[in-house]
Amino acid sequence: MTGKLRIAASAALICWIAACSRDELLNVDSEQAPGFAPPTLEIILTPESVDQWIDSVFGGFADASTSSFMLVNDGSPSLSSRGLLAFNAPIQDSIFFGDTLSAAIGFDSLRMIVTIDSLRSQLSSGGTTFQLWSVLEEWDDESADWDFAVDTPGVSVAWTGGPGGSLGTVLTETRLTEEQMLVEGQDTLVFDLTPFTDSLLSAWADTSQANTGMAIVVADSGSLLVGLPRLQYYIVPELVPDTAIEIRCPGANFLFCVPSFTYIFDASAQPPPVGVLQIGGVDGWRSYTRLFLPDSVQVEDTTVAFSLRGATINKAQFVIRSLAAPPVPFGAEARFDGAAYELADDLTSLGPKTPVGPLIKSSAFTIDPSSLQAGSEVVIDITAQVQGWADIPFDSIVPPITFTIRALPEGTTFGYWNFGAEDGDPATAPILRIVFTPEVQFPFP
Amino acid sequence: MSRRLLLTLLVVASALAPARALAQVNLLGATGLGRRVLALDARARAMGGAGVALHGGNLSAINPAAAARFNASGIWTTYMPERRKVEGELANGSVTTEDVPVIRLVFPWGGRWAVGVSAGAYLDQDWGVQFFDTLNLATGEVPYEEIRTSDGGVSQVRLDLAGIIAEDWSLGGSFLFYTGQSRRRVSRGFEADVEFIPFQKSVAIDYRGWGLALGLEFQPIPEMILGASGSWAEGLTISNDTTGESLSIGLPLSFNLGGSWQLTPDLLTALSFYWEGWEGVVDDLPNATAVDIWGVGGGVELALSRGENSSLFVRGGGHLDRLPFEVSGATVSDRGLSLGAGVILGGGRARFDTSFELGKRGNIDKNGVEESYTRFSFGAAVFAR
Repeated sequence: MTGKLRIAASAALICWIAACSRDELLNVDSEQAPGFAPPTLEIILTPESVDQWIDSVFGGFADASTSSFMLVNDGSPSLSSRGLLAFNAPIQDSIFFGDTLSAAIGFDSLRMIVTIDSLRSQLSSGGTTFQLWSVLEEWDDESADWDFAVDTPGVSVAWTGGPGGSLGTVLTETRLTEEQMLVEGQDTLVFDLTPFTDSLLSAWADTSQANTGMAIVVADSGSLLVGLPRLQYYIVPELVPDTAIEIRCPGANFLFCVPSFTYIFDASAQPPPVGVLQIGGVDGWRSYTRLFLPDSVQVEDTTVAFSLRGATINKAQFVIRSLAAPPVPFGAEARFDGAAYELADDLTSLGPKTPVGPLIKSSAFTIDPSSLQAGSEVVIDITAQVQGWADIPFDSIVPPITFTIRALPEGTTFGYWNFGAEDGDPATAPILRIVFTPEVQFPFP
Repeated sequence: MSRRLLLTLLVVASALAPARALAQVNLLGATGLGRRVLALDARARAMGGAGVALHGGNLSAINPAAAARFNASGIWTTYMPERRKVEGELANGSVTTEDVPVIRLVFPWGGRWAVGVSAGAYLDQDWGVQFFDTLNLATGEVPYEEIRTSDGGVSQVRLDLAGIIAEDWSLGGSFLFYTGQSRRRVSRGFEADVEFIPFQKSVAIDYRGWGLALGLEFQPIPEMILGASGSWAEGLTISNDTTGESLSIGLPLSFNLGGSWQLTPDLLTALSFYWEGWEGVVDDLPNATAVDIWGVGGGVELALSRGENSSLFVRGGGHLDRLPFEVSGATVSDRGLSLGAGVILGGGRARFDTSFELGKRGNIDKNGVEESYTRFSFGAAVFAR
């Protein structure tokens, strides 16, 4: 046998040794299983059981203008609300035919259409009349409220017509009954503005003049929650004067048309009292939490301590417990989703200006007022963040766990929901439930 | 109430009893350092493990003096798959393992001397178990599945030098090098609807050590060979590749006695006995109980045909062994019967052997578990004549 052949043969055979293997698994009783595995433990941390647990509530992260809906209410129960809309962006008044731009020689059939949220709208028994009013003065969609047309830091302009906006004349009205909405499935409310087509569209197209907009008002009694308004009208172009071409704003052929809208109302939510966490609502209430986790925990009746640091966090749940429904009209009128985000700086020094970090993976939750009673739990999964904390090397200083809980997206409901805070009743205070498997070293055989 | 005490009280009792370290009540092969694998070739396996002193070319790596009897360079190996059916309250199921008990090269020179190198499994730590259990959490019960496996073990590499020191005597010595690694893994998975992050952990445990072996063969008459061998090991260093922690343990002294007798030109009988002092290792192993072990085996080989170029043999045998690591506080025995066949081709240039064994390990009443095994051994050898 040559030397090379010997080496090759030896290498092949040593590889064969390494190929010793095992297939399949034996079923064993858990009590009798050979080998080693650390236990999986559960701890429940309360605000009293950790070194520091702080929570705060801040609002103002959303407002009516950033809501995904408009609320029009008649004043009962204890809320009057009016929708305001304007078209501050240029109105399309010309159209291309091939490469040729043709101006409009006229407009036709102007309508304003809103989509009804039938689940969150309530009409009077005989139906509710909704009116579209002209607004007489310019308003700032981001700051307008029931008392002020503009209410920004340093600039406050009260409505000249008094609280509730400076309304001019009724442009049009439409009536909606419960039968139409709930039985026939009518999902839109159409305001026919055809008599004012040319004047309104010409006025809106003239960007050199202030655009005062319109208001949607309940004429009798009822409550309407609608989506974003849209315009529908027809252009009669110069090049083809016998043709009317439909334009929708916003619409597929007019992507840049973004109406300004908001709604104003006569009641304002206040920051929560001590002991209450407030989440959601049109003001975008958020709960901020900061707490220090213990490095290790001890098992009852033993001297064995298990380290949270370095452990596999099988599940970490921040559990908030519902209080009674907020006062009318501020209780969330529909279910809304939420999520937890990490905080990127020190909550205690920056307060509401604490920058928000990334979304905590899998932290999505839903608040459903129809199923929440006092004491009901809402569970927010913050496993990813606690695992990140546990993974910090042992020779490093560990930061506190900090996160904010917010509706996602914010401004999807007018109302919010209340939960117990760390400084409130211990029975409804939040808790942190952690299921973890400690890091342990395998013993020698 | 102090925070520490409060925390203590808040720890909800774990449902996982397996937090204890390697249980004394354990699965065959998973205790201590694993299964002891003897460096026997397929022919010796078929003859009840009688591999200390065999007529007709001893391919086992038990007695270093046996290398002196080869008059041609050769290389050979044995491959040994085993199917086990495990029954008992501790475990049940079927599992297949594969081992290579011996790979060996021998180079004779000068008509009296030979050097060799061999390698093979020494302690097999291949095992895997699964079980289902439930975590009792404050929010309810959470079922989980746990899998624990161990793959690898300790191999023994031997460097042999043997020579015929007198007309009827041969002597051999070996340097023994122990090396290997076993990877222990545990994974705990939960049902999808609870969305728990699974736990997974693995560690590699390395083994290193060395020792010496000495063997003797005596041929009082041409038809008979008697042999004896013994080994000593400096110890085995076990180290954890994650923590760097290490532990040194002893390895047992071992003695082998055996012989074979060509009763007729076509009938060979063989017998062997071994003893290994594992009890001395027990103090060093934190999680196992070991006992001294012994084994006795014997068998016959019948030549069905003999020719210039080829010969055909059938074999049979039986063995009884005591295994080193206790299970359920009781020693474990291994008993089996074997049948086999072999063929020599090309005038001795090639040789193929096979054996088939049926046996049992453990006792369901004593050990809580019993293995019925079917073991095959396939051997192939090539010589440069």
